[in-house]
Amino acid sequence: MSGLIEGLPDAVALRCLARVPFCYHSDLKLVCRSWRAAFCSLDLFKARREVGALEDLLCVSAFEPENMWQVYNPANDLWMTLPVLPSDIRHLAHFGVVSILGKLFVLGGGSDAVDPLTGDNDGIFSTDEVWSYDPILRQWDRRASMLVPRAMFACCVLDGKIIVAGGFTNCRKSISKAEMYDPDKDVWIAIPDLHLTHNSACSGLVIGGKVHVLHKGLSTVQVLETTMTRWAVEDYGWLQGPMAVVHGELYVLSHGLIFKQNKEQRKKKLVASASEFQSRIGFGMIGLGEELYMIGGVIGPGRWNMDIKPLSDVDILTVGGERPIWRQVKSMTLCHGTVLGCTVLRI
Amino acid sequence: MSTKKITLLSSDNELFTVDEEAANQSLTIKHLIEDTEPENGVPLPQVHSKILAKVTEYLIKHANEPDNDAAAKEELKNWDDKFLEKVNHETLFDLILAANYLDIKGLLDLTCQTVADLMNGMSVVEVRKLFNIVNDFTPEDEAEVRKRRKRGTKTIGPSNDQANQSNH
Repeated sequence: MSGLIEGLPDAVALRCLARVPFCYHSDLKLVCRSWRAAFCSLDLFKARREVGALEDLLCVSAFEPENMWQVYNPANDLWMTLPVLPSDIRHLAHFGVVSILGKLFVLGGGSDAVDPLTGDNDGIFSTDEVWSYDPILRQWDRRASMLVPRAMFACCVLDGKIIVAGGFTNCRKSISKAEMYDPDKDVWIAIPDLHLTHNSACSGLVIGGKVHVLHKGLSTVQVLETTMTRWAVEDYGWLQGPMAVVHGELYVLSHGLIFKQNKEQRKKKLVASASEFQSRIGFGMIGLGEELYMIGGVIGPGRWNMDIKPLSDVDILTVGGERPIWRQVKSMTLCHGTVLGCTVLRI
Repeated sequence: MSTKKITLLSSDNELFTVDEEAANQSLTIKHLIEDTEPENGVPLPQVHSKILAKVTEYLIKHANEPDNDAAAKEELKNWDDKFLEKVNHETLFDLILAANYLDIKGLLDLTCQTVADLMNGMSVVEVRKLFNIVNDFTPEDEAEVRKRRKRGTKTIGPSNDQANQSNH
């Protein structure tokens, strides 16, 4: 990388290029060799972080097409498509997904593929595989495997580390084991087990700088103490339902209404109606910026229709302002149906 | 608030006087004052008077940045936009070099952002022209890129979905 812009030292030129929105990068790689090298470099990511030019992109994988990830850039209302996840597991689902250090991580999970002739499941109920996607190099890489294969587990990022807990192992048994991944060292280490297991899917949230693990159907929440020496069992009386964190606040969809759920007290505030989502299942719900995103899913068979209708819609609720407003943005261009995972990638 | 005056000496020996508060936004000047307390003005042999005039204009305007006053911030932002509105390419680069040398973070951010904004919506050919860049890709390189773009899945850029409308 040299001689990026005539008349400017490379370090300064890089600060200029770092401020160019991500959506233009693939075109600007075609300017010349040194620009291509610059836009493919880790230095550019670092410079973007330094000058505060990082952008948040939404990454989504849905039931169809299999092992496909699409990325949405709110800045230009555009969907991009990643190379297919090169796992041998067909229709990977029930995985964990997070983003860290400008990379997308897809962890564990199992196959949702069903043999069309026999109706049998593919057989791989859970894996310990970990994949990362580097949007700069545009490639998927295998990372160190988790200590335990798991699916339907809690998966969060805390202080630059990935934390996974609970879920189901190969023998379809729920587990209490938890572990932590250091992306710099590419190493997993065990952390204290959860106190409680429950025969249901697990999910994880970070609120107030702490990892919270929830089991579907349980009102108790397990909170990893900052010392990482144990999980505290709490009952905050949270509403059950799809949840997402926007700007550090917890939002829950319950009975067609979106509530802001107070972290520790049993208080909740009605934010908006979401009646449309009462007939929808399997959609993704995630916070990005000041907004709550509802992505894809299916309209299940109802009284009047027996069909399952897969969706690629993206609905957004602006919760940051005084009056929350729903709007729709560009639908996913390829992915549709049940959303298997979504996360926000900061690049 | 200090009202001590600082005198700056450009490469062509012109003097500029600003409040110490304003001058201190430049970490380079701040350190020069601390180290030497020059009598005949702080010598800035790398900065021409034409550029130093612009730089001091910026320093004076930004001397007391508003903390929480939204209206004042808005006003300052509008001022920044105007400040670089009629600046030509050469002056913009000279300002970047001066901001870099003088270590004025605000001015460096502003000028670098302006360069980045220049490229918004430009085609590859236009960008090359803007920065006087020679296309050094071989025909083989370009064929490879075109092939990749056709195949689609190899790129993360907008190329797949709002495909190849761009640039050639």
